[in-house]
Amino acid sequence: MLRIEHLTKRFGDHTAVDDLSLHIARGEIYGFIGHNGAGKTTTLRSVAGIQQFDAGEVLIGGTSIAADPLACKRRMAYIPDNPDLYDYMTGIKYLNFIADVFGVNADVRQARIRDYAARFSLTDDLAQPIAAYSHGMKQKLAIISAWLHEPELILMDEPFVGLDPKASHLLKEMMRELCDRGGAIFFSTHVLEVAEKLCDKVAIIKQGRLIRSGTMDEVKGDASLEEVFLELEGD
Amino acid sequence: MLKVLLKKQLTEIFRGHYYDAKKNTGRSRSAVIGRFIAYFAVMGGVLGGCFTLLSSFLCPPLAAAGAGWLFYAIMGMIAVILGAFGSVFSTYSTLYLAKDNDLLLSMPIPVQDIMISRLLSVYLMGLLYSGTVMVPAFLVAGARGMGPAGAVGGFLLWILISIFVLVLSCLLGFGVAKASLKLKNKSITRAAFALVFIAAYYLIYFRAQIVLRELIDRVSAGGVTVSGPAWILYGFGRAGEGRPLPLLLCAAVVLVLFFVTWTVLKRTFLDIATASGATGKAVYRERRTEQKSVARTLLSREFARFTGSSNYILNSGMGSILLIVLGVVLLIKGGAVIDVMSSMFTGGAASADPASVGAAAVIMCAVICLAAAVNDTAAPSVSLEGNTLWLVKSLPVTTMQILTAKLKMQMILTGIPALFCAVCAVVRLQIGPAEKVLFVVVCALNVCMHALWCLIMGLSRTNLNWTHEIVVIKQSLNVFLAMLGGWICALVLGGGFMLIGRIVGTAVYLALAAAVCVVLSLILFSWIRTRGVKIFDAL
Repeated sequence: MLRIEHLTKRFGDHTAVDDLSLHIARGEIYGFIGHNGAGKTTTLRSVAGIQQFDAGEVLIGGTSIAADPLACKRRMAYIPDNPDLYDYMTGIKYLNFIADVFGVNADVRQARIRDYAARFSLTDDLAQPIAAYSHGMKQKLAIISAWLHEPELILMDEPFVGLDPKASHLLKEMMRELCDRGGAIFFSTHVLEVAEKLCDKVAIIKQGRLIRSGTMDEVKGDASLEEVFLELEGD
Repeated sequence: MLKVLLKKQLTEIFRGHYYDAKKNTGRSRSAVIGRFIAYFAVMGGVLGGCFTLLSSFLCPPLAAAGAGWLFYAIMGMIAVILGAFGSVFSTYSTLYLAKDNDLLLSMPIPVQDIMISRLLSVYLMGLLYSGTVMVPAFLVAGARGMGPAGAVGGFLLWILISIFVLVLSCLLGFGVAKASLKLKNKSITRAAFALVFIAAYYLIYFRAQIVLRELIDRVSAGGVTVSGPAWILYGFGRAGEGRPLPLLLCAAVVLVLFFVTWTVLKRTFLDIATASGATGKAVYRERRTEQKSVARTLLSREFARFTGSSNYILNSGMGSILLIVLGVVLLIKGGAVIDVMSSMFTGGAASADPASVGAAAVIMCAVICLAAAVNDTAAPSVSLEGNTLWLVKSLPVTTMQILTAKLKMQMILTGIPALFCAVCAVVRLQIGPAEKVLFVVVCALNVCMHALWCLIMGLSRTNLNWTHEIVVIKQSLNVFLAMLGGWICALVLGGGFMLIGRIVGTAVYLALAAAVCVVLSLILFSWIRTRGVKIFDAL
């Protein structure tokens, strides 16, 4: 579903992502871990087509994001680490905006908004301006908008930050449902327990370079993910 | 602590001078100095130059006639108007809506230090704009007629005017903040509140102008009898001359006003800055929404942003109201206005020849373009994406679609009122059908060209890391250049007629102007499609 080949991104003299290659298949929840400033967000933003990169290739379902960004973006969704949404819109206007851009027809969007908003207990707040939302509510809205057009690939940067336990649990369920339907998820997290329980595969990045990747068992063996991560970070 | 906050605030205002967003690095010391010199040269050179000419024209004869006070009364009034233009709508957002209010309030910083640092930027804008009038005024006064006392008095009057402008700004900011806490549709309400303020402000201003005219008549007649409200202007002017008693009185009035305003703001700041402003929860009712095209969706997003911000409406969309008012005035009083304009080209003769009517038509067309250039929504629109830029870049839309939506909004917001105004004008103008059509076409093309220019300015000098939107809506150089570009075009349109219009005739001149607009628009559009798209993609 997603192939990242030799991705490199530089900011001046600093190489934020250095020759990174990762393959994420349909049905996989792929965790991406690393210390602060390791290059996780830069990788996710490059894959999402938000940020231009200096070298390498990103293929979404075989289509290059550099060659045909629109076709790639239609198949995926991105949730950033900080859900800065359009404060001047109400929740429902924002969802309709996203649905319009992705061409979700009126009946389908109505049903999906009803369903997801109810699941996240956000229905009563949809008429409120986003400016009045708490961080968690904005995160819920960002999640609903990401699922609204039923993407095949979802990229998430620290998606559990700010969510209450119920919403956090619900998100994990939704991630699994999407992958069971043949989609794929690539997300970064600092919560190693979540990554350990939820992910089929995991990649560890340090100073922009991939230092280990594979199935959870391949990466951690008999140790815990936390132990492996701390050991690798200490090297 | 205050020093640190003031430094932060100044860095924020002049961030573009210190930081190169394209290279993501700080600028060199020489580049910073060069940019500051260029900035003040533009402000001082363009605006200051105009007021130096005006001062040189007014000051010597008035000073010689013993009416130096009248010179300062006139210049002082202009300074108040211009100073208020620079700062009056920034106070509310600067003081109460800054993104880092919560952060600063959580730190061990006295609240009044936060307020002082916030108000500094408002004050500086007022000082800068009023200074473009008053600095040339007191320099000319000192050099040509009033001596050192006149110069020192003028300088002190400038300081007092800047404080008075700050008081005006604070009062409006406070009023808007109080109203916002209780009302729904806050941005529209704030805009309406501000418009009422403007109306009241201009009412007083026009009243002062009448008083001033009466005073000028009296001075011309050889007498200086002053009575009623004229005393205020008289005292004001005397203060500028450097007379101690009027100066002390003016200072006392301004300082008392400032003290009262400051006390009110200080007592209420925390309550207002930390209030949620909740006015009852809106009830959500599910309803079917028809699917919109991508182009319409992006355009709606631009309009939602525009109507969602009173700062944006007031600072970037006032031209629309101006054009509608101008159109109505032309419909009602158009005949008289055209007669006056035509007579200017016939040396005051009662019957105007066709050439003079044609000249009046071109000047009117330029005036409409001038008013239309007050709208500059496209200029700050790129920077206004701010933290949400990721969103539109992650969506399956092309950069050109995003930029086109920004252009369209300005064209619609300005084009419709401009066309209304143009139609009102041609109804009244006694020109041929071809000239009437060309008049409307030139207005429409100028609106398109200015929108393209504004967007280029927005793309050229983007600032995505602002702490309050007023920085990019009002206090950035690109917005100033965007408007300036529009005004220069309008002036060239009017001035060009004086050079070649009378030779080639009105219709040919308007046709030429239309052709120039088309060519320039194509060049600007081509730049946006190539360089502009690349710049936006690299943000």
